Amino acid sequence: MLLSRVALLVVLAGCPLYEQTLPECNVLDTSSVMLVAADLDGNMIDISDGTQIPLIGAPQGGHILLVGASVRASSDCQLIATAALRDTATNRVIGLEQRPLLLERHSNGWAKPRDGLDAMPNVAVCPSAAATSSIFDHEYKLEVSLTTLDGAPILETSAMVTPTCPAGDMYCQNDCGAI
Amino acid sequence: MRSMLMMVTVLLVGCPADDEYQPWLLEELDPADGMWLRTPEFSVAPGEEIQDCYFFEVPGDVDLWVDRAKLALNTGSHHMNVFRLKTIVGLDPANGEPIDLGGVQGTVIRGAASMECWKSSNWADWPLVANSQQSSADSPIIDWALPEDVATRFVPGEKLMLQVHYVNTSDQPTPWVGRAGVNLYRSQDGDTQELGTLFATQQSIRVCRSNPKPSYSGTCAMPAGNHTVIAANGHFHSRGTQFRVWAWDGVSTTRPGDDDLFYASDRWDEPEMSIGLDVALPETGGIWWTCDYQWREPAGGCEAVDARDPQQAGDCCYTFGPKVEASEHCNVFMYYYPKVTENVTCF
Repeated sequence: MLLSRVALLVVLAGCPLYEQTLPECNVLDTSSVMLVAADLDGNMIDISDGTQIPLIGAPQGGHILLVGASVRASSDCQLIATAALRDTATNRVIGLEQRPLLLERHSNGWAKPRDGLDAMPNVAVCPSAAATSSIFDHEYKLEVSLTTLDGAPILETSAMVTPTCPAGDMYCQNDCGAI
Repeated sequence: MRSMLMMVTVLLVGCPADDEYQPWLLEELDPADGMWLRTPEFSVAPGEEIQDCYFFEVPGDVDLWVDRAKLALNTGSHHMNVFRLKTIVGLDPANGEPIDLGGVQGTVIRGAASMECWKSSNWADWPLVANSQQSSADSPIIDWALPEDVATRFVPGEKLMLQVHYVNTSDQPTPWVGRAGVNLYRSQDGDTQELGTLFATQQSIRVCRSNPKPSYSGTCAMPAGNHTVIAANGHFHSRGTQFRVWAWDGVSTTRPGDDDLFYASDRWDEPEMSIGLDVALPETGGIWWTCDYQWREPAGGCEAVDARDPQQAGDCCYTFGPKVEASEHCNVFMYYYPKVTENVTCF
């Protein structure tokens, strides 16, 4: 009997049945935040003014920006992120998405978005009826705000960025061209 | 005692059985009055999901302006959508088998024979015409009259697709047979404002055992101008708990207030088609929509759900996809006027 209990514990300890629910982030320093973007290969890019961000073809059509933020946190955790791309000439939001921001803490203290399309906002920007010029190769304002899981504001940040199509990708250029 | 038994027997004989198949009826239209089509009846076996794509052309030699539609479905339908064809990717009507659709002749590509009828990327740029998710036995027909002076315009020879999705599970049973019908009534009073449509979807959704109550929100901008929403409905699968759509000013990055909410549904199997709306959107605005989910154990276990998870996380995550039992959606269908140049899509 004892042996079977031990065996069960070993099995449970060695093979988690499923992932644990991510706790809400305890953001250690709300002034330390880094806007980030990812490409389809999962490469993470830190964003500051002037950064070029890759446009990613979405499964059902259209193109998205995969953007979020890294924060200083004490563990793997999650927040709610809202990301928007704004045309500063018209003040219109080209695209906006809000979803759970799933963060993985690294040894340097930064919690960065996990791999995968679902871990940070997929901002659908092409096509967009709000666009007055082409999306790719033009500068727009990227705005990201983070809240607790209950919606309490934590921080907001922004940067001027330039969405880009992969070299030679005519589908992207057509989808994200001037309308 | 015997008389009581007899009375019960008489009552039972006299009452129509609740589970008796009573097909809906729609009138057949003369060309002068519009166009109509009916799918054949087809069986949906227990546990089965069927999605078929029917293609046909708008008959006649003058534009068809439609100011009333009737959309009918037998019980058990997950949805019917009508789209206008544009770019042909993998779903080519020329590859379908000929079929008699009653008022029109067409072709059909069955999902059982070709996965192309399941792949939404095949109709990514096909504008929405109309949709219904209403198939209850007591209300199988949506009778939708457009507002005064508003109509949908079709050109002769224009290619359309009717996509019909049926499920027969404990969550969404199909007790009899699948069948769909559409009547499009020709406007007779010179309507001048064209109906526009909006289709918006959240694609990278993920509802996991470890993160069981996610919400996803997005915005969809309208072309500049004054637009009035007249109808809307939302679409998700059985993990969906609440679907909401607000009028949005096109500038704010926070969710609009309660006063701007114009569609809300907690039904995934028979979500309401809100018709008769009269919602003026802000001039450079659009919509904000939110899908709320609650993960739950799949009836047949997690194997099928895990198998289609692109991340292979083994966390029983429902991800974007058409299969009701194993995937999720978050789609807005919205109708407005006047249409400007193109219909609106937001991916």
